Amino acid sequence: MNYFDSNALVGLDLINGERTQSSIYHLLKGKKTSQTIQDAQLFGISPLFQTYPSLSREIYDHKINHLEKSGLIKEIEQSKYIVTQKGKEQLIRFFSEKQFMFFLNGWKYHEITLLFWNRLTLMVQTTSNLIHQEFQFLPINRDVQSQNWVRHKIREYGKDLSNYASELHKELTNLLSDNYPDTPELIVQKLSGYGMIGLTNRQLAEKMNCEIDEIHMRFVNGLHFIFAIIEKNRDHYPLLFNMMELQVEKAIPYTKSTLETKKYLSKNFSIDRISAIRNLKRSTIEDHVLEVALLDKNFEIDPYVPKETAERINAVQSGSNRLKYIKDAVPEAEYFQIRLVLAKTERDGLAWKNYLQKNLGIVHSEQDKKKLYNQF
Amino acid sequence: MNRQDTIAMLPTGTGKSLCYQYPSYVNNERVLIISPLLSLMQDQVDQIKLRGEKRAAALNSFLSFKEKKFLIDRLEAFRFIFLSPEMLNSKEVLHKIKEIGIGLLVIDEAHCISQWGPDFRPDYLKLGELKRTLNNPCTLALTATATNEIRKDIAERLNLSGWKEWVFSVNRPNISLDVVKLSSVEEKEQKLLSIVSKEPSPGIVFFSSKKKAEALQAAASEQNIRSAVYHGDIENDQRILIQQQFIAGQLDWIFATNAFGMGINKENIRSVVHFHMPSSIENFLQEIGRSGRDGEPAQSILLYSGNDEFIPLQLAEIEKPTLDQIREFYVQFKRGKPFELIQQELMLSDTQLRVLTYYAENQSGTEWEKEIDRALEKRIVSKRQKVMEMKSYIDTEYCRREKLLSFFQETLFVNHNNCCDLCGLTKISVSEQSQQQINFSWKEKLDKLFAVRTNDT
Repeated sequence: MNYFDSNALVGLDLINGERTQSSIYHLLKGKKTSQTIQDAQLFGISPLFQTYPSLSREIYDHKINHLEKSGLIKEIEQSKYIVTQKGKEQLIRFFSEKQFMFFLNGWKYHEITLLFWNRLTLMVQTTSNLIHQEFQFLPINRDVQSQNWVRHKIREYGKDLSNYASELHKELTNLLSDNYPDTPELIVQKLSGYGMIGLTNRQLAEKMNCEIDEIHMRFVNGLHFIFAIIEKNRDHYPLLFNMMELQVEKAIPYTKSTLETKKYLSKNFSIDRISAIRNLKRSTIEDHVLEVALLDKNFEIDPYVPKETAERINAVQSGSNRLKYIKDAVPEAEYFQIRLVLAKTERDGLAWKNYLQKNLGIVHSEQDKKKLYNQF
Repeated sequence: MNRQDTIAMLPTGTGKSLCYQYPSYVNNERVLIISPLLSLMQDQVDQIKLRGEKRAAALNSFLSFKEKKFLIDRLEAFRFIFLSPEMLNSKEVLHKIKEIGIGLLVIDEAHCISQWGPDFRPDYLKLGELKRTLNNPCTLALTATATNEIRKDIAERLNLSGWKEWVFSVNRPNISLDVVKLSSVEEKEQKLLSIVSKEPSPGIVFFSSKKKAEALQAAASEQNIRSAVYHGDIENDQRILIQQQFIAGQLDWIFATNAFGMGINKENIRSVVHFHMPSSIENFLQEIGRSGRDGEPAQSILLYSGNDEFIPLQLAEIEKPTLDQIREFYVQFKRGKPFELIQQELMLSDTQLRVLTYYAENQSGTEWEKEIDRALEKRIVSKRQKVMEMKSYIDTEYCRREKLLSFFQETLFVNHNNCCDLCGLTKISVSEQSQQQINFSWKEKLDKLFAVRTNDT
């Protein structure tokens, strides 16, 4: 078993046969449809969103096939799978040797993960060469937009470049020193600069004696960890925070029909009334409301779920996201209301973070976690 | 420079790119370069930029929609525009190019236009039309290897008028030629491992299988050979790292499929090893031509074990779609089914799809599938012939250099002192290079990158 397998297994375990295996594929690949986004939030698997952007369907299907053949998952309905006891045992064994990716937050950071990395690598390469008086070098990354971003910044700093360099050095050293949960080699050895070109994932894997897939996952986990730190302490990391900023705040990508419904929602029309006006089923309008609740941080769910009900749902859900389970515990809640509450509260990927303890009974102390990493 | 259509046959590594860069400055005109190899194209752009010329850009399918749009909108700002042949299918691109005007049209790897060549690219056949659309700009066709008949074919298909031909010898006197015959694959693998530990580096080992390349690189790595694998499945950003590590001297050996090295500007490659035989003399010459660009001694070593020619022969067979596939393709093509779907359903390779699409768009008739089948069958025959030419290089009992040159109607005038294993070889001597160690901890590395003095106590 490797990290890819474990991610697929954890994902399948959390959806627990309520969705087809394709939903995990779209999740890992990071497909932006309202179905994928809703599922991600509903089942608490949003941290995995777009963690394998270049995954091909063939390879994914092949891996799922392999998991089934090895008896780790079982088909309970047409392309719906559950994780078998054997699967869970293997997960337990895997995570007793390997670190769980606690800091993954794919949904929150998918738009900036690659962007930040492109900018950082190009910026480090450029400043490193310039302060060594080397003005000719081949860019290590071909993303035109990031190249332009760096060019623009370099012009902005002009004569102060050596100052910028020492500040960036300080920010990186501080960021990776204290609480960084993994070995910083995984980030730093990939960087290039004057007289040295960074290592590839394969070369890192060889050095650390593990699979390429593990290098990839630990790298993404590490990046998402530092994103959270930078965001929380933007005064300490102004240069790195700057690299995280999207040039244009993207408009929220609603579907056309949802946008139409949203207009009525903002006028405080009830779901039934919108359904009548638009001549659409109530359930369709409910889906629109869910989509808005997932994408719009400022959307209030109070008008649709009584506070008391929401609190009871929150009390039950801890760890488990299964709709039926909650419905049994809070019978007065409608399914729509449960989904709405889950959407609102699962933005932090709580189900993911608690997965090990809740579903596999593994508890790692912070000490253990550090020890789990191979030293470079 | 004096605006005459030209076909230039220059061996790899002799500064092909100067042929269009220099005239562009002298005549102050925009150059459009058609180039079939995506990775090579980006490398060329990087090289031009490295020189300080920022007005170079590449338009190809590597770019995202957004990046493409970004470039097309600003196309008039560029002096050197590289275009992949499939981009010619975009009306938007064509229109823009016509609008901004082109002074010189360069066709790189021009032999791809010839149906008789092994690298036939149907999109290249549209270049004749492109030339007309652009009001017949002066045209330069570049190729490293092309026989007489292919050169004639190029001129005809490009509608070159009163063209001049510059043909340079394919001979690269500083590269010695060696063929080692081994009795089994295991022996060949052992031989390779001994080569990469003893023979002068930097070097490239060419494979026709990704898996073999990976397996042997892993074995070499265990012997502490500083090496890396490079092939089409490796992601783009990782490939750039490998290329640059190699250029910077952090790696001694690259284990690659033929995707590697055309565009990289590394002059001191000392050895090119073939673990599998290339599928044609032309490919062979291109690949060994990547060594010794600095003019210093370099060597080609080709490893052969019994029946190695079956691999390229089989590849040639597989590349031809079956009659059923051809027939079904035509039916679905006429129904207007999207190409991706046809490709998936009929399990066609990219090349197969490209070739069939070309024929479907340009030829019709009741006997279509049979005609196309015959045409493709002919291509196999010509590919087979190319493989056998390569085999005859391996089997020759006289001088290998003479043999190579004979395929291009050249004769050897000067005797070489380090010619080939059949004429007698002496080891090429190379001054020992200092192996750069870069095992810094992350903190040391950050300090080095930013030139911060370490304050270790």
